[in-house]
Amino acid sequence: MNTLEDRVRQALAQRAEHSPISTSAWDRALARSGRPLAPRLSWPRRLPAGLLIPAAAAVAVVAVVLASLALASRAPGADMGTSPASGSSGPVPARVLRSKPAFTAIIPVTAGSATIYFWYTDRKNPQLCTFVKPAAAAGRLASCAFLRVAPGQPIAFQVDRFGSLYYGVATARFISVSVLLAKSGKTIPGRVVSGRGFPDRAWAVADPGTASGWLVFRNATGHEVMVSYEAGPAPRRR
Amino acid sequence: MVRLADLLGADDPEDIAQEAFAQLIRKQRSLRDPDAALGYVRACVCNLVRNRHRHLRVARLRRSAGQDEQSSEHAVMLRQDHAEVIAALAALPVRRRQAIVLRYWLDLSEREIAAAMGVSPGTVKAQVSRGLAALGKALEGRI
Repeated sequence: MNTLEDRVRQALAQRAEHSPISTSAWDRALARSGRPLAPRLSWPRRLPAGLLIPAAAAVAVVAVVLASLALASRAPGADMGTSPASGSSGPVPARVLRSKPAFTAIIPVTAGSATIYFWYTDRKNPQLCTFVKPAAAAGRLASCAFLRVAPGQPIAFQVDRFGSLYYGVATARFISVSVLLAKSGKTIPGRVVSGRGFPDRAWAVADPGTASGWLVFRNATGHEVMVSYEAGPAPRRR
Repeated sequence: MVRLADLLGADDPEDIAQEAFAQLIRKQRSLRDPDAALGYVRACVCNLVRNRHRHLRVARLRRSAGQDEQSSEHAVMLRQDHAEVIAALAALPVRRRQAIVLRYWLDLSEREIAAAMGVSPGTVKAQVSRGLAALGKALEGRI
């Protein structure tokens, strides 16, 4: 007969095989912490072998930011606009960053089938810059706008040029965003992010393409602020 | 680390593990010995689980409900005797449970367990011994 110690060992080993692992855990951890991890420009030392896989998963989140920061440090130059997918030197094309150099971190957010990259340019008059990479489109779009939260308002937002995303800025107290569809009551989750140097938090949700609904923002205590939206391109705040 | 947090009784083991790695990244510059990283993350998991048990009463209540749901699922997957051991383990105090899991799942030494739990090796020895005794008592008659 097995000893008690053997039974404990076997039970723990079998129980461990069925431990739940969620792919959204990292997003939830970031949302709860209220800020993304500050990217480090140097990963100093060798990690023990047992840490390599989980550490790689954690570091992969900031790897995109590191690559973007490297691009942001180049000299200013060409203009912005639609840029072909081919020939880009990273998630955000170098010529875009030469035109609108980032003084903040560059934060990617995936919403629906598109990925939007946020950063701020012009330290004296900060503009929120975005670079949208839709999964099924031939080109990519970059733009910058003076998108700031007005006094007394919780958020400011607009729709990207592909019409596939709502995005904008929000005050620091909000940690999550979602779209609540008026007809079905269905909820589409989005993401609220921040980065080194960001004056406001940025957020993005996939455009549900419905006639009406609400953007629902929540703070850390679960308090909600709902903002009505209408389908179609929102007025731009240039 | 997710599995460790789960075995330690965390209500949200993925978040615990991710937060532990987040703490590692934030503290990476203050870690002078790279080989200490694994122990640091392990200690973070233990601390986070313990804090969760101590302070998040609401989370504990939710976890109890979640465990009820999970128990039926695991009743199928776990052998009956294993399920009894896990149930008995869940009834142990947090530190005793930590000592048992670190000892018999990770096969850590008393010194390593002490580092992870932030206690002395003597305390670890006592916790493991008392934990095993409690498990034996709880499982008595079911063997």
